[in-house]
Amino acid sequence: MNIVVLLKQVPDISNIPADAWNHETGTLKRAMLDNVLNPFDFHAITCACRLRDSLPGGARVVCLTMGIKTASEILLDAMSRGADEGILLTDPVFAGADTSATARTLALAIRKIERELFDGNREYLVVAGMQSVDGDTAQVPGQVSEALGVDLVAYVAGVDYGKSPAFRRITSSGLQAVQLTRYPAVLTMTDCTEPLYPSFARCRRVRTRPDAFRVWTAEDLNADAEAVGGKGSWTQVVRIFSPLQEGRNCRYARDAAELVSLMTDALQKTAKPASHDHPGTTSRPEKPAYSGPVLVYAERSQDGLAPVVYELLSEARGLAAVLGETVGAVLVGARSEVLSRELIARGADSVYYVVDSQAASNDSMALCSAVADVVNKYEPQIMLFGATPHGRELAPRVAYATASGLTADCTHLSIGDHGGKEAVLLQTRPALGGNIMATIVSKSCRTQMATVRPGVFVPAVHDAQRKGSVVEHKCAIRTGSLKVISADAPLPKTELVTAELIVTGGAGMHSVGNFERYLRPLAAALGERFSLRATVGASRRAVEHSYARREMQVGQTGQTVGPAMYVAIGVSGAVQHISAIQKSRVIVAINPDPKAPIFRTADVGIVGKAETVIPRMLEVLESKVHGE
Amino acid sequence: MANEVDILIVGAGPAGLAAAIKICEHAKASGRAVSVAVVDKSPKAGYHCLSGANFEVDCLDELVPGWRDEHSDFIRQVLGQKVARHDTYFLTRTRALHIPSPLVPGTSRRDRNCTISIADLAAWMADKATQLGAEVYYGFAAKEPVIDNGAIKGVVLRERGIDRDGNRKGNYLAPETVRAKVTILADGVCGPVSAKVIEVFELDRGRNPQVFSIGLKQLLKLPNRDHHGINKVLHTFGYPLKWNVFGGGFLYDMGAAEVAVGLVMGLDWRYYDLNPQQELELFKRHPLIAQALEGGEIVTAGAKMIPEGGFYSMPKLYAPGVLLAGDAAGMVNLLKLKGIHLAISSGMSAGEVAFRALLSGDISDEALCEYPRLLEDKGVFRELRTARNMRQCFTTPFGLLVGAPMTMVQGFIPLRLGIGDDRSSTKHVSIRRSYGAPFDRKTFAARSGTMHDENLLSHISIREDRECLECMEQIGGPCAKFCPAEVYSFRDDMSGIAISSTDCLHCRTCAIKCPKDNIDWQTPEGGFGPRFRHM
Repeated sequence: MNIVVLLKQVPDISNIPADAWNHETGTLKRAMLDNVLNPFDFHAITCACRLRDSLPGGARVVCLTMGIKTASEILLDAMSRGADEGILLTDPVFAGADTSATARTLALAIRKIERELFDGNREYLVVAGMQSVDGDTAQVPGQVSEALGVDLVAYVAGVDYGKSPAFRRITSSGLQAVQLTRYPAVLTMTDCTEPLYPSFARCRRVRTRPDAFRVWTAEDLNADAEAVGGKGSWTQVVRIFSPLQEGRNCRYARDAAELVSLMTDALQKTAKPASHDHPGTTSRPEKPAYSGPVLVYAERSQDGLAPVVYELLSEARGLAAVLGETVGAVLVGARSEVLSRELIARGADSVYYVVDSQAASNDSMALCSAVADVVNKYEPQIMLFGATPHGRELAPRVAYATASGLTADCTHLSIGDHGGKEAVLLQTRPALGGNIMATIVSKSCRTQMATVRPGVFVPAVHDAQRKGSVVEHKCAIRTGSLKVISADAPLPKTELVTAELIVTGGAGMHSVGNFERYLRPLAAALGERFSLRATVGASRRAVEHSYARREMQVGQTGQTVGPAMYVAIGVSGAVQHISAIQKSRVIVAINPDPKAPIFRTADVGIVGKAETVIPRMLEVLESKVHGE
Repeated sequence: MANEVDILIVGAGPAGLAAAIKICEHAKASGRAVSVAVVDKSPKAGYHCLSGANFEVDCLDELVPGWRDEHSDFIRQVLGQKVARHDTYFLTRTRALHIPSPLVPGTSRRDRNCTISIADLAAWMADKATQLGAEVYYGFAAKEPVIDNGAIKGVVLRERGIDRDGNRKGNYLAPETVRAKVTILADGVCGPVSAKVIEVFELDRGRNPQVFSIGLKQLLKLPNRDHHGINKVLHTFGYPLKWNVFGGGFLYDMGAAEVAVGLVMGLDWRYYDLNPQQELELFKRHPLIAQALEGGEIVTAGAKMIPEGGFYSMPKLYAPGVLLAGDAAGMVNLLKLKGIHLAISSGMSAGEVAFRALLSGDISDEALCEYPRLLEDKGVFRELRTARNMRQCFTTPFGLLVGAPMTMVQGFIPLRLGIGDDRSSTKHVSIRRSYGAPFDRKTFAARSGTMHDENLLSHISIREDRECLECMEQIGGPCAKFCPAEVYSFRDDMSGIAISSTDCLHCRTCAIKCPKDNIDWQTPEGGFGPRFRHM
């Protein structure tokens, strides 16, 4: 078996020079950042090499990247770490490609690799990092698999190497182990390996070889210049701006009760209202550029609908109101009256459901064909997915299959005019690791698609009086070939990066005992109070003083967190810590030193010692829970 | 064989790269294929290089003939940064006294000086070396020399993939041995490989011990260029340093509305609570400096040690199979406050001698003793001798008071003046300062771009916890104060020292200044450490 590894050269967002910021516009001068290999791609290289080494009969690991000439540096790096060959796709016509045009180009190259390097042998895998740290879209691998018409195992969190390897993937409901029964297939890797190091000997062999890697141009791929690069793209960035809200202004509480109420207040204030509440989007367009309903993909959870669906519905209602259109929901899987009614009660005018047992089992190929068929029939002008693992796996496939522009992980949507077109969907999302915001529009397509970050929008309320229609959609379903070999297992623990509320202790906690005595109960109580998945973290200082385990450290080498609420207790707020938590929606500081820099970054704060403040907070939280 | 080269150079700074360039030129001229590899622990060209830097450019004429006509950003910058004015001031807390330049040693012929970024210089030189056929590999940390039959035969690269408990991780990479016919060590101040070679071959026998300074530097972006003055160089002594602390400050115009500001302090200070980073902040707030920096934003920060024992502290520069160059050999002219041109000159000479040794196959002391002879011919030693007793002048109990006037005549003292080491100078004496500049050490470290993976074994360890507690009691635990990145802090319960090795700037002051020699600083895995830009 052979392996193709997809690589991307990205700006190093873990090391942004202080002068790379343009203070007038608040944006980042990308040219001032170093170029590095996308961090997730190290895991793809490592997984590919380990697979090669564990499989009988050997394999070739071929690295593939698209970019300017200097991107060859990452091919050489990958080969120094163990990959066998490298191919650089470079051509002026490839420039400006969005994810779909990139995927189309990569798919062409993969087919050429199959023909020429693998002698037509289709028993191969395509391995990629789960997403790139500059774009964070996670769309390219999904769209490559759709372009190739093959299975995708997204978010691989572990591999059992062996003759028939098993891949443990992260799904919306937990960890699931699958095996492949059909090749080729695409894998995307989370940061789940110990990345291979470049050895001096390999490095030297690679770098002193005159023809270390191949260079392919559009002509080599027989690529249609209209279908690649900027011309072949279905989306376009129209605006880049600063993500910084006006500086945080700490509101100080006098006691624990006031602190809890200020925290509640801050959470409510920072929740994004749906678009229809935004001023300036109320007048109806006269000549809209798009037509058709606004559709929402109704992602199912084990016991009903995923919470994000309600957020999508409220957002969709707002957009539909501006456009004068209806809202539809697409539900796939087993028939369910309850869910259809719930969708209508939460804002859908129509529910389109596709009954299919294969699609119900998390088969993204089957789900894609079902949803794409609905899209092709009802021709929505907008379709929204939740940016959950499931939604981020499915949406790229559907978008590619229906030739729709797709924007990932949006945090703001609105209807506005752009480029002479009226009433287009302006999709805004963070990029470059949250360091800039980008507004994106779709182009040359019928449906504007977006995945929407969960927890950003206020969910639609249940209204039992609402009326709507339920339409069964019948279509042929294409099935995938993944063999599920173990049932969903819950994810091991609430990870810091996925937690919605983090209570972090710093050196000011003074002992391991205080971490256990104060922080865990506080995290549990706050999590319950605000209905957020809560966990306990530690500052680097606290870890170095052995008050907490290293796994708990917030802001490890380049990692950042962005929970809805971040509570820093006894953390002084060194710049390294601040830059790791800046994306948090609400930052709360509890510190005995009124001059501690953490208060400059906090929204809510109290000057006091953990040992006195926390017990009082727990009392307040307890009484409120009981009181309600 | 991929692990064998003709000539291996450790360190891709000016010295190592100058050697690589010279070797490639000689190889080309003689029509012989020679493999030259340079290894460096830094993640990228120039990231571990830091200097003022007020650079005497003439040495480039020999290294890269015709460099002045090159159309590159770097050369344009260098030529645009010719020093037009060089002032020296003596500072009191609030005042600045201009010192007429005839009284300042080493300031003549300033017309050949340019203010440059040594990081940019190293990147430019790496390009040159690569174009000529040298192989430059970043991210590889050399650990120790390979010694075979009494001769150096290459180096061992540090193993990788050891977790913080000392266990091998899944990606463990065993130490690799790179064998070479001749090895040039340009691994910088306190270079780990050169230190080992000096020890094994007793290259420091009969020399003064090496003494060091710590230099801290920041690069500031100014709202406009006029504050400080175009192409102006300013050196100070006096405030903020106490009269018995050797050193001084500098402020250089760097073009493009940037200035470099820094402070250098001899490590033989006696105060246990002297905080060099905060001393730099005091310097920056002196009226003379503050007005020049007004409105400036700190872009980069960093620190490095400077070997400043001078001529008499330099070790013997060769042993069978190996040559030492640059900072690793202690080549700094304290009179001029310069070392880059000496690093380049010594690198070129080392390259030339290494090439000859390669051709003849003779790597014995008898063959390599050509190296100091060449340095003598080229005037490198002559220059170093003019400053030979410079540092010693300041080691009298009277510090600056006797030291400053003595520098005027030190070059005429025919004897070798002795010098003590830096470690034993710290006493339980407080400097009695209330530091507290908001630009603190953690922020300083952050601005250096430094990074180490905290899931890997810490490259800094304490030999005996007990010694630290003793030191705290007897001397006051100076490491908690002198480290510019605040890597060391005493635990709340005073049970020992906590180490934030992630923030380490690789200056290695701790390895020299710890009164108990209780800090074990090992070269970390390649690819980590500071990321100095334009420093």
